[in-house]
Amino acid sequence: MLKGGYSGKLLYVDLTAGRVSEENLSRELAIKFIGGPGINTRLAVDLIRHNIDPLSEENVVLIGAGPLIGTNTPGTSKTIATTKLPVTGSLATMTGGGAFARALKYCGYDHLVISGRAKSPSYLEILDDKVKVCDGNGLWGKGLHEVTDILYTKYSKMSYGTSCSVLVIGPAGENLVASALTQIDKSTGHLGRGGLGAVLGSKNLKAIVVRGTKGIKVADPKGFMDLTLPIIERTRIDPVREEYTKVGAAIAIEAWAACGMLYRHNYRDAIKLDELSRRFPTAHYLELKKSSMGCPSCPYQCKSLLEIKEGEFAGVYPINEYLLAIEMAAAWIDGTPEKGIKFVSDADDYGIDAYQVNGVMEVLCELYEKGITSKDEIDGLTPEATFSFAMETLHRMTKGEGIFGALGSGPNGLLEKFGDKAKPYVLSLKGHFPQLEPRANLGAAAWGQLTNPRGHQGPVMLTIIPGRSERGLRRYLARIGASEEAINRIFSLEGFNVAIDTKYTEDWLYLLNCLGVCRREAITRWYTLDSLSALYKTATGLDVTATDLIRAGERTFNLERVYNVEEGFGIKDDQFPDRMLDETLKHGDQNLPLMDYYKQKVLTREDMAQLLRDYYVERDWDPETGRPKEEKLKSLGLSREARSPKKKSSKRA
Amino acid sequence: MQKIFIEYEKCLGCGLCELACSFEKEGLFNPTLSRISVTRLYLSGLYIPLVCQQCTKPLCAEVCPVNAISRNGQTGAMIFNVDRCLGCQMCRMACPISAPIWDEVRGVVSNCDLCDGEPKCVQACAVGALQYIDEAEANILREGPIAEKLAELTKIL
Repeated sequence: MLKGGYSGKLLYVDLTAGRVSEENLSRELAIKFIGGPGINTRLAVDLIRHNIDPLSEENVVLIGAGPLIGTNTPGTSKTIATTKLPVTGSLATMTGGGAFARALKYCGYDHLVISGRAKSPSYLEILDDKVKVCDGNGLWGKGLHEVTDILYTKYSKMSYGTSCSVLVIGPAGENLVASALTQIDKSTGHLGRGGLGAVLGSKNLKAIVVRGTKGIKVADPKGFMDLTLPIIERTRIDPVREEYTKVGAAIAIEAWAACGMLYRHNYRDAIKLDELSRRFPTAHYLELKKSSMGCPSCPYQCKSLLEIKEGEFAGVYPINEYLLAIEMAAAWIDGTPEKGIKFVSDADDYGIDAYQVNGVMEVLCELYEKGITSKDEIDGLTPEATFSFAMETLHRMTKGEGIFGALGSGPNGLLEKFGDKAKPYVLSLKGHFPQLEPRANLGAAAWGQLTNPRGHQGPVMLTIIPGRSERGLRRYLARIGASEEAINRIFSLEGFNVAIDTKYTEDWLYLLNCLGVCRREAITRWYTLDSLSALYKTATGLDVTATDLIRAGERTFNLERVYNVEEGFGIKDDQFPDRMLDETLKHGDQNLPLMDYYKQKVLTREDMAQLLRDYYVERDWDPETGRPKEEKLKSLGLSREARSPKKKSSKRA
Repeated sequence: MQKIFIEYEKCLGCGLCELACSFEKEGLFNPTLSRISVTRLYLSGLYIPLVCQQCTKPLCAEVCPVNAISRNGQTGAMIFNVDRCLGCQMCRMACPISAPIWDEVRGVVSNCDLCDGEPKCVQACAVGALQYIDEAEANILREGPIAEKLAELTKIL
């Protein structure tokens, strides 16, 4: 029996049989895998057979919370989903904000396991321990925003994010478009890039409503409050907090533009700061901003409610990341903030990944420009970098119309459709368009795209901003559990080794996700590995050391990897697309080649191969194949889990 | 006398106040048992913390058929005597903001007692939307926002 932190139960819903069952969360599973992606992945390797079609009835969706969620620890709310994804074909974990994970815990469940396929459109209702698969015919076909409103009105009287939360798929998910995702509490949380929306659509599951009234206990109330109250006190007097909540996640936008991270035109050029300031001034954004939005327990509300007061796009828009709207609109000849907002808001309503849509659009433009495709081939449309072509791409991809029906998965769809002649122009990492431009800044976020099972984003941590001081980074790495030897390996004579750095930030990110802590630096700077282990101990009463905790993050990352190696992933998939290696990125007058984090030297293909080897060696994986070594798996206690689960090992699957 | 002064314009809806309250009063983190609750009106962008205002003329006490509600002379808080409570919930109906909360498990009503003069919700508010201050000071603090609202209104007119 777990004393606190955890709700203590796992909920299983078999949609085929219409059966609901629950199981106690064991102490062993909790200690070894902590929560979130850890427990999700551990359950998934038993439940999801290898080589299945992600959109088949056999796929399983796991949604999990972490042991700190539901408490007053600031910034703990992450909902973690794990499934086999249609865009990548890999088993991967996804994270999203909003109140879903907390509400699930208040219902009494740490993890939710959804298997099978409902016979007709359905939605899942979890009201404390009363769990029901309900008729969803009335919701099917409706936009994500409307469905969210309907469910709030029914279950929460329009007050959102208290103890009730909803996770919804849009029309893209219903249409099984591979790039479909889900939204939690409207746009408060994006969950499931890579196709979670399509997987739920294939299960005929339109939405999940959770409303819990049970609350969460902690094992050592006094010890726990002695840790959390000083953190809350520090956030109160933090000057960054006010600025951060005023601007939101878009606070980084100028720093990103300054170094070329706002790439466009299919990774050929990036917007300069002066153009950004002229076309998308922050002052204008602040005029549009009505209020902040965000997740429960977080004093750094980073999302925005925007209001366009007049004109064609007048209306109120909940926006997860304004940055995303700008990234899209900056590429269009006629792009404005309002058009960017409209685009991402419609993408949210359709429940589709805006990055994938924009990526498809930009590739089509370049293929057309290069004479590789013609108007006839693209349903009579003229591919050009404009708002109207972006919207056409968005609508048609969502509906699966014409040629766009074949492009729903993004890069892989393009390669299938246009063949080898398109290959140089389709930049793909495991089926995703890379989200972070390594030529602008080769920090862990960009380099880690190589080793992330979804390929579109590495750990977006401290080095997302270029040129951090060595002293600051050393201090940071010590704080997140890297040993002094490891830190010295990162800062060798050759400068900063981003590959080795990525290993430690990945383990830290996975641990944060296991516990439920947000990865945003505004939050994580209040935590260290030691303080998190103290919080975990007092919350759960389980005697776990800091080393045990960070090992759980590492264990989860390795378990995910070993599963995906069995699926055929390996060193061949951990490579940047040619354009990023061979061509420069135009940034105003400058041409940016691929360089190291401190911009000391240009990196060749050999340098990149060496970095990947360094990473594999640091992880104790086979440097030739990228497969975790047997001894490594044994030392992480994963020998049993790593054995290939060719057959179903649970009756529930 | 001090009171909990709410500036809802500052509230971000994080709900740390609800968690602090339920933890203090019930020993666990559970917003549904918190004496203070934040109503989040999604598309208006408003987050409104509601908590007992310890009224000058408390209707809750007047309608209570068993006289379970009385004022603490020191803090001014309306104290609900749980042992006497019938669970009729008349106090919740009479209250202009329905501040008393219903505890379904125990079948009684409970209410904010200002934590004997050290309200935990106020300590947990990182954004300064909640303050525990003298009523006179609260009056002064209100003047600014009222003037702002007036300025806004006259602009419209």
